Amino acid sequence: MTTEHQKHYLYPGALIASTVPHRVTTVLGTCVAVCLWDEALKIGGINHYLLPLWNGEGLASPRYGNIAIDKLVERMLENGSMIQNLKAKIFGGKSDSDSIYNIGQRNIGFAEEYLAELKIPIVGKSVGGDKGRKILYTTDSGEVLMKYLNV
Amino acid sequence: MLTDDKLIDELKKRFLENKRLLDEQTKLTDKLRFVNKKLEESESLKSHFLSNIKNEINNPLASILGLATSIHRPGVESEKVMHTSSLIYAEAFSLDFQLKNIFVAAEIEAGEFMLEHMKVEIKTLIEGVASSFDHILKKKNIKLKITSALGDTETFTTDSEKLQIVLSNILNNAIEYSNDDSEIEIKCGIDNNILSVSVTDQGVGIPLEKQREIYDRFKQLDAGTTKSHHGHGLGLSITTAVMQLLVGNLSLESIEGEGSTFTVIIPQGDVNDDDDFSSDGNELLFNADETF
Repeated sequence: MTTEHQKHYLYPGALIASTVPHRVTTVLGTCVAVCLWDEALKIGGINHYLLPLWNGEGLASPRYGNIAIDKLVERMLENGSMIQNLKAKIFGGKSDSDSIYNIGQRNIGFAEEYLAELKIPIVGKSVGGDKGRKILYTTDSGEVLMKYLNV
Repeated sequence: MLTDDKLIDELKKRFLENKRLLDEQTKLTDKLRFVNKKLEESESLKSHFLSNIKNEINNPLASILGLATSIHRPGVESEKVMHTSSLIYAEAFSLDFQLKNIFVAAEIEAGEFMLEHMKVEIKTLIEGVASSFDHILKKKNIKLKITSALGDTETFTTDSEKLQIVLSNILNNAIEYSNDDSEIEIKCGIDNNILSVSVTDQGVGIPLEKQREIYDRFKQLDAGTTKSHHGHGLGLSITTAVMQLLVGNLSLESIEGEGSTFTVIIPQGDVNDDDDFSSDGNELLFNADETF
């Protein structure tokens, strides 16, 4: 029997975590996406953030890594996951040669440090470099397909 | 052997280096302190907001209930019914407006928003937004002028609901901060696949040094006991956040005492991002060695 997957396109600043199997597509430049997967329940969730930290301006939205990761973990726990069963894969954060701020690198660094703090192991990643990425995350199997974008 | 001069030079160098590091550290600490203050402020404004919201929702609701009861009996003159129903409409409108904003903010903060790009008749949309404020414009005797270079059915691809939220918030502010008997002008145009809409009022204006603060959530410049304007201070932070979703830009020109112009600029969106990605066979192009 094949599982029915719902298709979902994830916009920057959004996140999705569901008990229903999804195939989530998102396109990453300097942004970073954290995929969380619960091996025990076979469910997953993913975010897509633009900057590492919220600076208190505007809305406290998951455009910012600290909020995006907190909210994603929170949603996974709401869906019944135990934090010790969560595994992470991280993608994106290409380097932005035009900018001295190196947002891509900071986005990656933040995910790595923060996930380590939460004791969620990173079991797969493709980060940095000078190419954008498109990923397809299958939330029930935890599998992520990725390809580089040439633009 | 180190001579005394060399030693002094070396020490000088090290002192300088120390000073530089210390300066840098002070700068960083200042920055941290600033962000910390902002976060604290945002948190306290949030809890303030939660207690305020009770009034913001209860008051119009109580008015609606009271007004409705006052005409819900036999023998009420039709003139009174007319008048009261327009009051009920005004209260319900403001309640609806505020709730919509709160829901949008909640959606964005939860990361659960969706974008639905479609062809939107811009002129019709702007006229629709403007006419929903008719009753308030009449009450304050404000003349609203729409200047458009667009054809009646000219379309632009964007999320119509999001654009409505942006425009109604900007217009709502323009009206709220306008004096009675003044004028508001909406200008719109499409150039090179970019939509621009500006709203100009002759209201109180915003002093330059405060122009950054107005986008902070729950912040109103005249907050506190002297607060003389409606609302909960979410409007512009929502507008900014929605503009980010539309990959657009919101700018402000204002002179205190003379009025403000808010301008939104939005690039044309793609129709149905979703389908684009699932139907172009891209999934097949993923290589097995790029599986994680």
